[in-house]
Amino acid sequence: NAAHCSRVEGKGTEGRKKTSGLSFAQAQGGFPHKSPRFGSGGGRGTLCACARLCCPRVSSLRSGEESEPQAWTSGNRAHAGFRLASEICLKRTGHLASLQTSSFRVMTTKESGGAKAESALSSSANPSKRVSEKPNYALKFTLVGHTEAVSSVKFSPNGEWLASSSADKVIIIWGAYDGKHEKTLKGHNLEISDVAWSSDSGHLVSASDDKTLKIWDVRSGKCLKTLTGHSDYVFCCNFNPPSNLIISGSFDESMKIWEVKTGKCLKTLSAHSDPVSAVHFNCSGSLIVSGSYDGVCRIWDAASGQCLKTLVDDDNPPVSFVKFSPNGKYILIATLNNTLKLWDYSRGRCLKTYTGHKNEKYCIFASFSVTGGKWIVSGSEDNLVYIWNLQTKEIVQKLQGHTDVVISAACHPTENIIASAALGNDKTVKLWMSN
Amino acid sequence: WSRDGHKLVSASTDNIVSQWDVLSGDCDQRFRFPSPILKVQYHPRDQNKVLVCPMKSAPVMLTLSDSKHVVLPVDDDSDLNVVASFDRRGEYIYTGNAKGKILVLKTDSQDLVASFRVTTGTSNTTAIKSIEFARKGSCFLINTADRIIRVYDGREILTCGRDGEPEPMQKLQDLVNRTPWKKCCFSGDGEYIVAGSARQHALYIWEKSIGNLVKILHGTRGELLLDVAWHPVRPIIASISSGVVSIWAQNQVENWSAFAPDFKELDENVEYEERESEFDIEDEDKSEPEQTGADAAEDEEVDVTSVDPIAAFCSSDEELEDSKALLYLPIAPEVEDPEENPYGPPPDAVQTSLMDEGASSEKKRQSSTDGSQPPKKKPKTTNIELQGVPNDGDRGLPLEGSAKGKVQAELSQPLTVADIL
Repeated sequence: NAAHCSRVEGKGTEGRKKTSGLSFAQAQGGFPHKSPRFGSGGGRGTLCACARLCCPRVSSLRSGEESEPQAWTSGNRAHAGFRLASEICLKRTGHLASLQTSSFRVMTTKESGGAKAESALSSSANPSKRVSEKPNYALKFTLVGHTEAVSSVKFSPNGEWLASSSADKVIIIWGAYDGKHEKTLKGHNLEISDVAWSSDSGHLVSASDDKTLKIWDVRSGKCLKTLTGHSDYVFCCNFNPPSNLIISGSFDESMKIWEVKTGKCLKTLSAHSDPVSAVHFNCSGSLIVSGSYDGVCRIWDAASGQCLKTLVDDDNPPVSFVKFSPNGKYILIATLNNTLKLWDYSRGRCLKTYTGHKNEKYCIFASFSVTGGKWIVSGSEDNLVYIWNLQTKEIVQKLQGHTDVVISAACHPTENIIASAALGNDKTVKLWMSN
Repeated sequence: WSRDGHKLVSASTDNIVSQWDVLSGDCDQRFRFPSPILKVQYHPRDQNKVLVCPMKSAPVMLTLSDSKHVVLPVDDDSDLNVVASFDRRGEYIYTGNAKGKILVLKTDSQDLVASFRVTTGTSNTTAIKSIEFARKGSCFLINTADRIIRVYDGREILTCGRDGEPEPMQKLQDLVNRTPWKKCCFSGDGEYIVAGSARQHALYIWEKSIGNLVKILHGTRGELLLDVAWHPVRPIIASISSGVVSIWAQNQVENWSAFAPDFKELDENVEYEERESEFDIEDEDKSEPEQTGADAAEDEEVDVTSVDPIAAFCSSDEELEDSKALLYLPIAPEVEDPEENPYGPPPDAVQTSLMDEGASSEKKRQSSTDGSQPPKKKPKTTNIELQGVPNDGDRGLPLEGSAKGKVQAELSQPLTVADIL
């Protein structure tokens, strides 16, 4: 009865044959329910309590300061709510700096100190000063709350929140700056593999093994709509920038475009021969990219549903993750041969390759970090978060702290914050910050 | 629409011109005219100015900030109905009267810079019904009572000056049925012209440069066409008749070679010639430089953050898109079950603030009975008096084929993508 969802199972990846989830879990011995390893005693509340003590709540949105409608202008199209988020950050910069130092002190006494040691190593172990800078991400918060493996973490476009989905069938919303547990969204009958924010940070969509997607209202925590139609686990989901559409990818090898307002399925794109592992809209909402275990990435015209391009690499290893760059010109493709590649899809050329991490089984999320230096951030099956220099492709930092596969890594839209989440042995979300 | 998409201006059969805020649904200001309004148009670059064409009067330009107005000069004081339009950039206003006379006035000064008369057959005059400008390029068309659509180049008009005799670059008409045209407009790129028939629900599409009829779109029989509009960037046309909006779009043809990049679609069979090394296990003919090419590419600097402005949204004399332009309306899922609804009554099409504590989605059209919300302030109404035009009260503009009465200027639901898909 170990709880598992398709993402945390790494389902369907061997030989690209459809395996039943159960047999796979049995082969692996399932996911033992161990109590969280970090923290003392009850574990769950300890570190959160520390975070709460150090970080009094500040949210301009909750206090009603911000009342401007979240209308969509081309200025904030690419970074949803960007202007709003940066205003909030300005209000609290002094505050944030003090939060970081105080909470970090507390964390190191409980943590193995690994994170601190790691960042110290990376800066001193490189005497030949390179022109490229390196980030110095350090663990700030460990968010405990999920009772099973976490499958996905995403920052809200306005930078206020972090949403995490899990095999424990719930979504938790945390404060992005203080890690405070804000809300739990319950409703799915089975494990959740992915969650995504609408551009105004007001809604969430979740993809679950119960073959449905659910649209949630963040403020009230209620499920507003359930999208039915897929005939197998729903694995990945995303809103388009105007957030009037949702795209979903499923184990039934199809992708569906849903209308947010009515919950109707508008279009089904069936062009993959294996589970669809990732779907993403570009910043203008005109294109969709999809990746699948069949080794193929496809680019679609969002308005007509027409396939515009197919990208296949030599060997075609299963594609575990795909997303557009912030400006929509390039695609980051992760494949289950321990490789991440940056493609120029208009010319059909691979521009950069990032290796060194371990990714052979799970559909691990990767991300572009553009708030400070330009990095590529990804989880890995060796329990580390990897950060590469986007241009030079060298590994600039490895974040240590998780005790299981890091399944998801996300970058804050405006601040140098990375959120990472790990599987069943760990069950936590970690927030890392860099200056 | 205003240029940035935040405002709408409308004219109703009670002779009132209103400006609306799209996001809030509020009416910002109103202007009461003495006679029915034929047309309203924002200045293409300055949304403080609105051009109004009232019946039985010269066109009027309103300044919204100070509610003032300017009456434009006309050719003949006995002109009954004068139509007018800003040119593409709002530098000039073109007016046309019932005797076929076109005046080109400078917008700022109202100085006459050019004029000509449209003649039909052997120097008979014909009434101007409308003047429409393309969104790209300098062309415009004139829809006249003689059922011919004349396409001109604006630059030529200016060159010909006053009392000029410019030649239209195209004359479009339906010779077979002698169809009168209700409304004409250009496609977004200015390459095509669509004209809606005044007799039936049929849309004729010509290619502007060649002047050939490309397509006739037929709507439902028996319906009368009221208006036609072409999407500014996409190949989509909207037409209204009998209270129904019809959306016309292309049938998508699947491009099969997009699914398999190694394959190419052929129009006809091709005789395949085998290469010498076709079945070699190791291809000796394969060139080496491919390897170094890939490495060189990997050292290029990749820019993942700068966004190019979309050319379709920029004018040729502008480099960037308007960052404050309204592009999307906030959308919330419709919730049927009242118990499930976190807001209270079903949310409306437009929600102003989603994280607002306590306050439900503000419904500006409902009167507040509980008094907790401040009463909506009434929009300022300015009465415009025009010389020689008696105030005809509420007689209203007769609408073809429908009952007379006040037209409610309600903000319509945003177009759902279901319709486009």
